[in-house]
Amino acid sequence: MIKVTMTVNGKLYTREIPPMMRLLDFIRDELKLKGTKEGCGEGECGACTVIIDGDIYNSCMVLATSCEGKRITTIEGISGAELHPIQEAFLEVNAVQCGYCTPGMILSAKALLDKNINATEKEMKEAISGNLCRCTGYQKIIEAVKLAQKKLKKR
Amino acid sequence: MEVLDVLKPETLTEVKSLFTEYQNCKILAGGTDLLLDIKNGKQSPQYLIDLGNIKALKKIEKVRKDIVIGSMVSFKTLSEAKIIKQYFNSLYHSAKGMGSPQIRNLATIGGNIINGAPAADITPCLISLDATLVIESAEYERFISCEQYFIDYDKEKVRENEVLTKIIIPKKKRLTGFYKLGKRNSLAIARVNTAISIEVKQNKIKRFAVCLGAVGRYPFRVLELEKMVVGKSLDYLLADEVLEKLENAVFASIKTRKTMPFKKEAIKGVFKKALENAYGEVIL
Amino acid sequence: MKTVGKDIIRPDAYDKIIGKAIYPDDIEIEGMLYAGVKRTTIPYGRVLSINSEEIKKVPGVVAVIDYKMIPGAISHGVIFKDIPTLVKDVFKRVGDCLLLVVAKDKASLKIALDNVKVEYEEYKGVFTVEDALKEDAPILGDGSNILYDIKVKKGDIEKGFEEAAFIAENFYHTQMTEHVFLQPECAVSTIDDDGKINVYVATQYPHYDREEVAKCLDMNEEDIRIINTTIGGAFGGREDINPQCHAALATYITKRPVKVLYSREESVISHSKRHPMKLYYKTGVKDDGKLCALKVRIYGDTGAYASWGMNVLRKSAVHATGPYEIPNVDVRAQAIYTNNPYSGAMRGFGAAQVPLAHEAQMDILAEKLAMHPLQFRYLNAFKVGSVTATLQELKSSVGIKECMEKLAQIDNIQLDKDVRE
Repeated sequence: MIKVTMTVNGKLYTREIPPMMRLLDFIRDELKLKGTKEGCGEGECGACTVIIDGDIYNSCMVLATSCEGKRITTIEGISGAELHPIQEAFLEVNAVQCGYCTPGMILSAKALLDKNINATEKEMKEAISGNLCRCTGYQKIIEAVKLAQKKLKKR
Repeated sequence: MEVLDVLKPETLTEVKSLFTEYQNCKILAGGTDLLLDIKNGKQSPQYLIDLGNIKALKKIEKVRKDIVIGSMVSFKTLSEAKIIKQYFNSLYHSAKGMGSPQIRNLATIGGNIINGAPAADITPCLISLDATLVIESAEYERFISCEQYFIDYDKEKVRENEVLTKIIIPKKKRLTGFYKLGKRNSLAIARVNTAISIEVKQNKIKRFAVCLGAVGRYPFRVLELEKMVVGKSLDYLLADEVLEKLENAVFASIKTRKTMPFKKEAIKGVFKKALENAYGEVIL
Repeated sequence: MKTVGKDIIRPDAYDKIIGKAIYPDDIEIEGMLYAGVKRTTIPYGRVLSINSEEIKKVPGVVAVIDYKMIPGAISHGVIFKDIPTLVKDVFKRVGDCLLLVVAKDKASLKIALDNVKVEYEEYKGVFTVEDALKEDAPILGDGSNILYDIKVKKGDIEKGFEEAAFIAENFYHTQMTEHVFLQPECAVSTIDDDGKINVYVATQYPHYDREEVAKCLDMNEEDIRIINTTIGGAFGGREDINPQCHAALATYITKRPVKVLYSREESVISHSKRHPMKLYYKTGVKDDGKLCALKVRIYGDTGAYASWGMNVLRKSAVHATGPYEIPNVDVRAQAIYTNNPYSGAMRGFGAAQVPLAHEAQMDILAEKLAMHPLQFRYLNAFKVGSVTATLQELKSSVGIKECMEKLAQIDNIQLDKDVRE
């Protein structure tokens, strides 16, 4: 077992974990945050996407121990009492079908808009290109990211 | 056998001393391939040395007539670095088109080289750019051209007490291009890829390098073709006899493979696309 | 009217965007055990032995369950009960379930399953519909390898082809397709104090699941409760039983809550696929561009088990003409057993394969007629009053011509509308 300390959604956690524990398992099994999903376990689908220090990663491909001292954001960490504008937008344009890809999609969109509020449609498509939606609702998802961009700009 | 510990050195010196302290180590340089190999039982190291905390390996620098890239530079950094885009168009495009945003944030140039996959995206570019690999151990430092590394792979591949630290690319004026044929845009593994590098003098080709990937165990140059085009004008690169040389090279490399008929045809289109990428304009 | 004509927000969307929607793997219950199955790795054969006794001794293993320990039915299926819940002796595909192992945690379960050793007697299987129809082929079904055979006939096919100015005759084949719904299968089962079993699962058919679990455990349906969680995609792939019976059985035997969770690999290996089909099409058209005859033979590879094979091939046969009026039709479709993964429901359910053939035929004939392919389709498309190959009169809501008119507008194609009626 090895000790690891990291900040998840603004809260500092220290845990003793097996060396090969994936960040995904750390989040789901240790912290009981179930919004991060496992779809493939090998970096193809993006359902397990989280934000680490501002960039998106597949949490199934990152060892928890490699996240020592880092700041992690999961879907549970992007809104408080009120929804984040990206979440609002996903609701309003009905960009959600089965919902399994949704947390990852929202985090990929967030990482993009946090860095570049003027992102173009092409950049939006690029930003979610590592997140598979098998219900094939990409059109709505892009619409949602565009709407979120408008909402964020107004703020 | 399971992994007993993940070691997280802060400096290169520490890494080298870990080699003597621990047996059966494997270097974790991103892990997009290694962690899956371990999960699937293809590799079973006892210790992982995570290079993620070594800042010195994450730099891209101009050193005299060279650009020096640290082995832990991620694909994202590579695709966003101005200096890479400015000097090595092929490398920039290759890095930008690899995997997905998530994978590019995690995967490193060093990991891509050392993993030695036939369809690796970065290796053909490095070979066509005359890149040199710097491999270090506690006792020595060795320099080997990326091309030679793969020609003599069994002899030259990094040993258990060694670590790839830098990739050195000469900063010369040249046209470079890369193209990957994948089954889709994102997250595609190359079916065929090609990197080219052209030095032009007075409208004639002074030096030409072409490296083909995913058409053999490792990427390789087509030397016969490279010699043939020297002294000719750029138009000549689209001549039938040039394309035929590519076709023959692919045939010779993967004669017995099922994909050969497809790949020997595809290589011609991929080569043209790599040229287009180098010129920055459509030539077809 | 409160909702008609208005944009509404899906009631389930809110939980999904905040990460609080509960899929089966998000359920954790104190004292919950983990179960999984060892699956066959060869496509056809018989089990000689399994080292079950050794597996019982693996640290962390709570129970090792084979077919003999199933209190009720040892197989299941949406129509024919032919898919083994746990194999008795003969199995017919890669991925059949041999042994159910229950352990205290995921890690012990993985070690236990990795250590299961099976001795097989391997049989020679069949992997193409052609081989399955040969005289000396092993019989995989009930006395025959033909699970289903349907004929759809209308008019006089011989006469129809005699009228034809042009005929296109071709073979087509479609590939097997995997659903890859994003959420791999998972089920959690619990037992109440009075012995009732609850199964939390993402399913397309909770009522069928209840019937299957009840039969498996030899219990009354009233004593089984299937609770549908949020479903992470299905597309037809969650119509057959997958982890439901195994989770329930493990709970029944251990009296503890149990979770069964598939990896992506296991998900792909285990559930049904879209039928790969081989299609023979012969289509005749008259000088004036009107279709006059269609002969079709469809061979669907239904794999090792029946699942919805009958229904899927029936749909292929019914839709074989495409949306076109053809007076003389002779269609025959068969579902054929092989040792491939079993085929079942997937988006379109047999209607998705035939368009490859009927539309390619339309393009080929349009070229022979020197007619624009859209015009050719327009000329033959169904309208109100058309009679289909199954003799159904279309009495209302036939929008295809209108749709084509819009397409023509977009692409600036001059459609000759005089031919509409």
